[in-house]
Amino acid sequence: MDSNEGKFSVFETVCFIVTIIISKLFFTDISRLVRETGTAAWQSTFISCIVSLFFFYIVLFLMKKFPGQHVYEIYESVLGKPIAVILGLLFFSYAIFYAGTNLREFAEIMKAYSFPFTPLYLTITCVLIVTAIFNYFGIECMVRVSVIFFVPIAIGVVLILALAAPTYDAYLLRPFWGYGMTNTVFTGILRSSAYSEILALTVIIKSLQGFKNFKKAGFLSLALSGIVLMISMMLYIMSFGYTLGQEKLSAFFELSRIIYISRFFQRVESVFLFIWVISSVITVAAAVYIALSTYCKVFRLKNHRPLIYPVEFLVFTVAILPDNVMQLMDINIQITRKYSLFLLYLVPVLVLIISAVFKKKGGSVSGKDA
Amino acid sequence: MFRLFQTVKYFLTYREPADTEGGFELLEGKYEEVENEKKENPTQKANADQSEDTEKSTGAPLKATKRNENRKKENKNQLPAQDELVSSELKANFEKIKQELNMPKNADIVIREFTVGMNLKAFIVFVDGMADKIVINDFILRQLMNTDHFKGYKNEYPLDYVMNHVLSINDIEKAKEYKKIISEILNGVTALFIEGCEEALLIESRGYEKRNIEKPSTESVVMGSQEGFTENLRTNITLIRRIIKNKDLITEILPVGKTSNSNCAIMYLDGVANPELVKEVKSRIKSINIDFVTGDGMIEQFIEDKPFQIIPQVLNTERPDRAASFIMEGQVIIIGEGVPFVNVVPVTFFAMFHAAEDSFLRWPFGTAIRLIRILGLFLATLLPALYVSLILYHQEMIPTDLLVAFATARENVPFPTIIEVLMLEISFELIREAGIRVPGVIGPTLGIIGALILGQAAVAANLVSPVLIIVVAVTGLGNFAIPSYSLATGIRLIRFGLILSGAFLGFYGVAAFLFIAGCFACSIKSFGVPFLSPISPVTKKNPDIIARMPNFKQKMRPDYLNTPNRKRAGDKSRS
Repeated sequence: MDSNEGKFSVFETVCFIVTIIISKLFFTDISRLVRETGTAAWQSTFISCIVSLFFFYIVLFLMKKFPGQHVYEIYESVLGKPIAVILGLLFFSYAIFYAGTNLREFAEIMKAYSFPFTPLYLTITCVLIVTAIFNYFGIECMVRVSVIFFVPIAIGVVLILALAAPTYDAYLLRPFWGYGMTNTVFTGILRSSAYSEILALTVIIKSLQGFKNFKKAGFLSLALSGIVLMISMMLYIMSFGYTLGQEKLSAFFELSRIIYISRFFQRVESVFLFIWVISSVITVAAAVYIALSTYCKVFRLKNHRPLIYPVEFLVFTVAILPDNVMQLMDINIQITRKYSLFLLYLVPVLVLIISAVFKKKGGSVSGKDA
Repeated sequence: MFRLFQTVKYFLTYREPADTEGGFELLEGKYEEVENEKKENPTQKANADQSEDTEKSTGAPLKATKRNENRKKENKNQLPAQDELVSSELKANFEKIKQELNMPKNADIVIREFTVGMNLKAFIVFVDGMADKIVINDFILRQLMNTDHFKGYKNEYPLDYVMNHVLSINDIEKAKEYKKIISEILNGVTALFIEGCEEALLIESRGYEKRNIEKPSTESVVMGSQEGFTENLRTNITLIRRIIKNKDLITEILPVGKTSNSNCAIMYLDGVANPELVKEVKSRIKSINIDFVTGDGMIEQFIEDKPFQIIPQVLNTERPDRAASFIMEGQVIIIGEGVPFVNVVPVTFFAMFHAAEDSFLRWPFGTAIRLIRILGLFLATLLPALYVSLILYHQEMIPTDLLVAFATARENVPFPTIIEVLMLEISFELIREAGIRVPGVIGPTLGIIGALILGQAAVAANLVSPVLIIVVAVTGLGNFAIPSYSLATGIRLIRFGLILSGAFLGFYGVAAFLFIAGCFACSIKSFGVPFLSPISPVTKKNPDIIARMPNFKQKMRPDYLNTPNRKRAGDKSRS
């Protein structure tokens, strides 16, 4: 996949990654976490962020050993082609599963809150058309669009949190330790997968123009997303409390719904519909891109464009698989936000260990990229 | 059926990318290479020639393409055929000129035969109406026929004597080839042929009717210059030269249009404009291969990076001061013949929002009017689409009192909202288009009367709701606030897409369409410069994108232009 990889700066990358990570704000993630950890949900996401920072730090060693190489190329150098192909296809499948899950979650929320009479497949198809156009233009275009829309997203998030201020009650954060510290820490570690989007950087590393930028972009994105998610979760609990908070389908939508400034300015949630459409589309488009990129690397294809249609079709299939939103929340979302860390974080760690044991270093296979 | 099968096959099969290059890119440091090329020393050149010779002498059979290239080179080196050159016999030249200029069918070509002072037969050729008759009568014919001017003649080459001692014209040149002579005659130059001379004299005598310099009609300002470009190429070049009195301001004239033989000029500041950019502009203009090109609107379509995009990638201006400011930034301007506009390349989205007046106003006002323009863009693009979305899908957002007002206004309207909006939007566009086409002073009157009467009558007939009249009127105002006419036209088209997507899926549809538009905008490049620079991609910039800081704070040229000289002002530009 040589075409359309482009180049972008640390700032642009941070905007892109942060948009993808914080898109969970608009989904079922917050209320799910409140259900699992009670009032300590914000501590739990903080722990997830720390764990992700730790894993990213380890991944850095791997990327440093193989400078400027796509993560699949590293697997191929270290594990050999057959195992790398299996792993590549596994990551490809996961990216499609992730895209499909996010897409369905988005469509369900849309159906629940704004378009009750619109068929689900129509909402899904619309997003897929936009993501197909995105992927047609390539990752550079995707990142640049996310830079442009990052400002409205940031303003929207800040506005929702600020305008809902009259409903905040700090006492609702009690009991401070939620269901107990062990539960919080354990859930926090497991749910570090919620930040696993950071590993998208290992796929787009060639566009980042150097290891330093990769490192900077990674740490900044994780820190910023962690702060935003933690504050949002804290304010959400302060607004709804943990009992009511675990019942909401979309925490942020509910938060925007209770905004009441005057008789004239109320029910402004539809304005914020823009920001979650934008962040959700970027998330799905990025997942499709990662799937395409990995597939192209595995089968050494230069042109990703003919693959867009079949990959989008696969994403559509995954999106319509769950019978209902509860099944989606209990199976799909649990896999992507809770258990995917075993695949996403632990595989690079294992590869790093193997490369250290067998003393493999970058430059042997794709020396020109190093 | 077969074609359908081919299309499906094309859609479903994998193909390697046809072109992995992203086209021309204005990359940093590229101009250095051009500089090196220029400074290439003679030894290197000799070596290069040698290597070429060695290549030739290898004896390997040449490929067809190589052979064609060689043949082209040979043809280039060949001297023109004898009948393409001026003969020493005057009669032969006379016949050739008559034949070339299709005389006597061509009624406006004038050939005047006479005898020059030293009793040599001669004739002049010019196009009636293109040449200035005073120059021809008083400064060419009178001088040449006056024997007093030939008293010092001592068997010199007649053309040299006439050039040096007889004609008191500022611009004279000798030419041998008919191709050049004919082309110059058609441009208004007078050609002089003298018996026994194997060359002709091309005497500057252009003097056709042209419009005076007037106020720009589409970019008028309250403060600042009131001069606009005219249809005349020379006048336009002069207007810019009058502003930038710099020896490095380069004007290059390039021919465009195979049959119309028009000219266009490119102007840039040497040492400031990126040489790679200049090279690219010239190459794109030279590659235009069509019979007729007039004005920069046509040139624009031939040289744009992506001509099928709705958003323009070339900026048009009819203000010499604005064109000069672009040249000073490092951009290249292209002046065509026949229209009072010039093209500026490369250009970014934000430059299309800037108006000449911004720099003349103090910075707080300059910033404020720019913000108004951005509001104008927002309204022109989104207002009808948001109205449709609100009415059809998101009624809960509308405060109750307002909702009641909307519902009451729409109560008697029989059409669905989308039809109502489209009907009124199309009527508005119709009024606008008709207002432009209607001659003279009736135009604006028709626009106002048409809009008022039509709007009032439509509301009275319960065809549209009064709220919608306000929405469409404000949208129109917003569109007029966009300084770039081409961009405003693009926005008009995008608006219809947004209205339809709003009707289809409410805010969700609008957001999706905006996203697609953003995607296209991000993929556009104007002569290698990303269209949304310096915001996306983020590059170094002067404080002059949306908010405008005072002029003395704008010390650097835009980074995305990669100019060899980035500094505009000294470290201390203000005392």
